[in-house]
Amino acid sequence: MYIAVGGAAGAVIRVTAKGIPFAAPSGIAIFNTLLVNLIGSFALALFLGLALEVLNLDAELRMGIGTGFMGGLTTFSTLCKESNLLFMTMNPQIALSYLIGSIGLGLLCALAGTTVARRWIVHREVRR
Amino acid sequence: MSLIWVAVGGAFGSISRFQMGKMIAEKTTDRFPFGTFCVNILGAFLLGIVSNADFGGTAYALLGDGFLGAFTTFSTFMFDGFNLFEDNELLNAVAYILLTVILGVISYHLGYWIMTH
Repeated sequence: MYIAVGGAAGAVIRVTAKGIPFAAPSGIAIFNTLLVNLIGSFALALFLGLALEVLNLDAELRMGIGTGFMGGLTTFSTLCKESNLLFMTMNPQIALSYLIGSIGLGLLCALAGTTVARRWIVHREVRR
Repeated sequence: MSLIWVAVGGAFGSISRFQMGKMIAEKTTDRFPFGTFCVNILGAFLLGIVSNADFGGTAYALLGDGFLGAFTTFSTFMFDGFNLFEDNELLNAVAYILLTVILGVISYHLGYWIMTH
C-alpha cells in the first residue's frame, strides 16, 4: 500500500516535471528526464543511507518512500525511448551523450547521496 | 485530467516492480541484481510496444507515463550499480550497467519494430 501511494506520487511529479521548458534536442525532452533521474538517484542513496540509523523508519514506510516514491519518480524505460528517438532521428552523438551522461552522472549522484548520508551519521555520533 | 491516470498507472507500476523484482531476486543468490535488471529490460520493451500502438492520450498516460514509467527505475539501477563498484565487484558492476543500457535500448527498439512491421 505504501509502495502504491509512493509510486503514484513519484509518477505524477515525473510527468509534471516534463512541463519545465528546458532545451529539447530534436523535440525530445531529455533534460527533463535527466533531471528527475539524477535527483532521484541522489535522493534514494541519501534516503537509504539515513533510513535505518537516523530516521528510524519501519520497513513499510522505508519501502514506500524508497521503492515506491523514488522508483516511481525515476524511469529507465523513458531513457531508452528517448535515446531510441534520438538514434532514429539521426542524432547518434546526442543519443550516446545522453546515455553515457545519464549513467555517469547517475553514479556520481549515488556516490554523493551515500557520502552525505555517511557524513551525517558520523557527525551525529560525534555530537552525542 | 490525465495526471489521475498517471497516478493510477504509477501505483500499479511500482507494486508490479516490487513484486516481480522480489520474485526474481528470491531465485538467485548472485550479486548481480537480476530483479531490477529483468524489470528494466521488460519495461523498455513494453514501452516500445505502447509508444507505437495506436493508443489515445489517456491510455498512454495510464500505461506509458504511469505504469511503465514507474515499473522501470533509474534510481535503484544506479544505487545497485554504485554499490557493486564500492564492494569491488567490478565485473558485476560493469556488466550490470552496460548490459542494462544496451539491452534496454535494443528492447525498446524491438517493441517499436514489432509494432511498425
